[in-house]
Amino acid sequence: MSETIQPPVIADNLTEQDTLTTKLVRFFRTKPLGAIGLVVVMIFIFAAIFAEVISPNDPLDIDYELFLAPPSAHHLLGSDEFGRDLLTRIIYGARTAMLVGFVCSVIGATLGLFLGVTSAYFGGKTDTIIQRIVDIFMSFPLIILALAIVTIIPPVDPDTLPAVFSWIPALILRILPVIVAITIPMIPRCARVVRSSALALREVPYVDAARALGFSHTRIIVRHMIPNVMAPYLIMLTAFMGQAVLLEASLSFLGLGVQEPTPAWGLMLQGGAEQYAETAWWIAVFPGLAITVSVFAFNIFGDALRDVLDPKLRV
Amino acid sequence: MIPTLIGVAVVIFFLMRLIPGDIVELRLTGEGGMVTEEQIQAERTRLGLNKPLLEQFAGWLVGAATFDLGLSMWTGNPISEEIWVRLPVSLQVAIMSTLLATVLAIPLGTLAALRQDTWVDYVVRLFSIAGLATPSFWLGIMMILVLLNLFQWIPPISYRNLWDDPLYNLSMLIWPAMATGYRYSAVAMRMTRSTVLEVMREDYIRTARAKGLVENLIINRHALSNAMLPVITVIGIEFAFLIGGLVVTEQVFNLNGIGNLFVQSVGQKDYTMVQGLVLLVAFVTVFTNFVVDVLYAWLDPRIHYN
Repeated sequence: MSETIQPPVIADNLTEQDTLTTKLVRFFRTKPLGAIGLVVVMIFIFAAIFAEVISPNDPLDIDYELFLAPPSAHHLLGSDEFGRDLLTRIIYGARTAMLVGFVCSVIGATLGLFLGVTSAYFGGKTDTIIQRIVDIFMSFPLIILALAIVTIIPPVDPDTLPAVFSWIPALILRILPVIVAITIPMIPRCARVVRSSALALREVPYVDAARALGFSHTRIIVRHMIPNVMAPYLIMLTAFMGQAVLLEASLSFLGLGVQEPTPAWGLMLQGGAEQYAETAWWIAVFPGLAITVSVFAFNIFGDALRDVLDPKLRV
Repeated sequence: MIPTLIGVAVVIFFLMRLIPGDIVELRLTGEGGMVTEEQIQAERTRLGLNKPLLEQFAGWLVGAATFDLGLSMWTGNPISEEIWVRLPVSLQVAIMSTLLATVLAIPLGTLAALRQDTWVDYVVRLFSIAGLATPSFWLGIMMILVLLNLFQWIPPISYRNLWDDPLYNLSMLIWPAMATGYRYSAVAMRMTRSTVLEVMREDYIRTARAKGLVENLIINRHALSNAMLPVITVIGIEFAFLIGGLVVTEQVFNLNGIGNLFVQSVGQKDYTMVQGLVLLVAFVTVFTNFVVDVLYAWLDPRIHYN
C-alpha cells in the first residue's frame, strides 16, 4: 500500500541518485537508435584496442601470391594491390580513426570550453576580441583550415624526439600533424556554442556570490561556470567525434593526412580503389563502409545524447 | 564583413610563413640539374620574397583588393589567372549540387515533418543521417564502381563547356554534383524537418485550422513560408562550405577545379597559392552570409537592417 502513494518528490530524489547502470538502461530504452550507435562505437573501440589479437594477419604483411585477391576464407575481405589483408588493415585502421576521433574531439572541445567560458565570463573587450578571432576561424570549412594547417606542421621523427616525450605512442607521433590540423578548427566551433550558454550564467546569483566572496577568476570559471555548461560541451564533443573521423579519412584520401604504411581507411581508398574499380571492387567498398558505419554510429549516438541533454541546441 | 576578411588575410598570411624550408630552393633543385645561389636569389626577387615580411603583406593585401593575388610559388603564373580558369567547373558543380540538394531536401524534409514518427519520417531521417556520415569521395568512388561494372560506362574525362556541348558537360558533372550534394541535402533536410515541426506547433497554425482553412493552404502559405527562413540560412552557409566537399570530389572525378588546385598547392607547399585560395573561400563565405542576410530581410518583413 505504501508503495502506491509514494510522493513524487521522493521519486525525483531517487532518480538523482540513479546508478550509471540504471541511467544506461533508461537511455537504451528511450533512445534505441542512440543505443545502437553506442554499441557500434564500442565495437569499433574494441577492435581498435585489441587489433593485434583479433586481426587475422599482420597489417604490413605482403602476400606476393595474392595481389587483389577477392574475399575468400583466407582473406575474408580480400587483399589490396600489395597483397595485404584488407580486414586486418580495416581493423588497424579503426585504431587510427578512433585515436584521431577521440584525441581531436576531447582536446578540441575542451580548449573550446575554456575559451568560450573565459570569453563569456570576462565579457566586454576580451569577449569582443575572442569572438572576432572565432569569426575568422569559422569563415572557412573545417577541411580547408585543416589542409592549411597540415601544410605548416612538419611530421615528427620519433628518433630525434627528446626522451621526455618517449611515453607517447609511436602511432600518435606518426599522425601528429593530422591530429593538430583537425583539433585546431574545432576549438572556435565549440567556443562559440559554449559561450552562448555561459553568457546566461554570468549573471546568476551563485556566480555573483562567488565574486563577492573574492574568489579568483580561475576558481569561478573552473568551479562555478564550467560545471554548468557540461551539456553543450558534451554535445559538441560527441558531434566532433564523427566529424574528426570523417575529416581524417578525407585528409588521408587526399594523401595529405596519415601516410603509408600506417593503415587508415581514407588512405586505403586513395590508391587502388579507383584504379582497380573494375577488377577489385572490395578495395573500394569495405574501407568506405567502415568510415560510413563508424561516423553514422557516432552521429546517432550524439543525436540521442543531444536529445537527452539539450534538445534545443543545434549543432 | 571587411574586418573579418582582413583578419583572415592576416592569419593565413603569417600562418603560411611558418612553412619550414625554402620552397623556391626546393622547387628549383627538385627539377634536377645545377642551381646557383644567384638563380635562387633571382627567382626570390621575381616573386618578391626577399622584401621585408610586412611589406610583402601590405603589397599582397593591396593587390587582393583589386583581385591580384600575386604569383604562384610553384608555376610563377599569376594566381588570379590560375583560379579564373578553374572557377567555371567548380562553380557549375557547386550550383548543380545546390539545386539538387534544395529540390530534394525541402519536399522530403517537409513530408517527414508532416508525417512525424511514421515510416516516411524514419526513411527520410535515416537517409539524412546517412548523408552526414557518408564521405563524398567514397560516394563518388561507388558511383564510378556501379557505372563501370553495371553499365560499362564512365563519365567523360576531358572537360567541355556547358555552352558548347550541354549533354556531354552535364553527363560529366552530374556525378560530382550528386556526390557533393548528398551531404548538403542531408543538412538542409534535417533543418527543414525540424523547422516545419516547430512551426506546425505555432498558434497561428491552430488559428488557421480553427477558421477552417484547407490543410494544403495552411501548409503552403502559413507553415512553409515561415519555416523556410532557417532553411535558407543553412542552404546559404552550406553553399560557401561546398568548396570543402569539392576538394575531395574533384579528386575522385579528376576535375580540374578550385578544390583540385587547393589540394595540389597544399601538396607542393605553394603558400602564395594556398593563401590566395583560402582568402577566396573566406570571401565566398562572408559574401554568402551577406546575401542570406539581405534575403532574410526581404522574405521576413519583421526584420530591418539599418
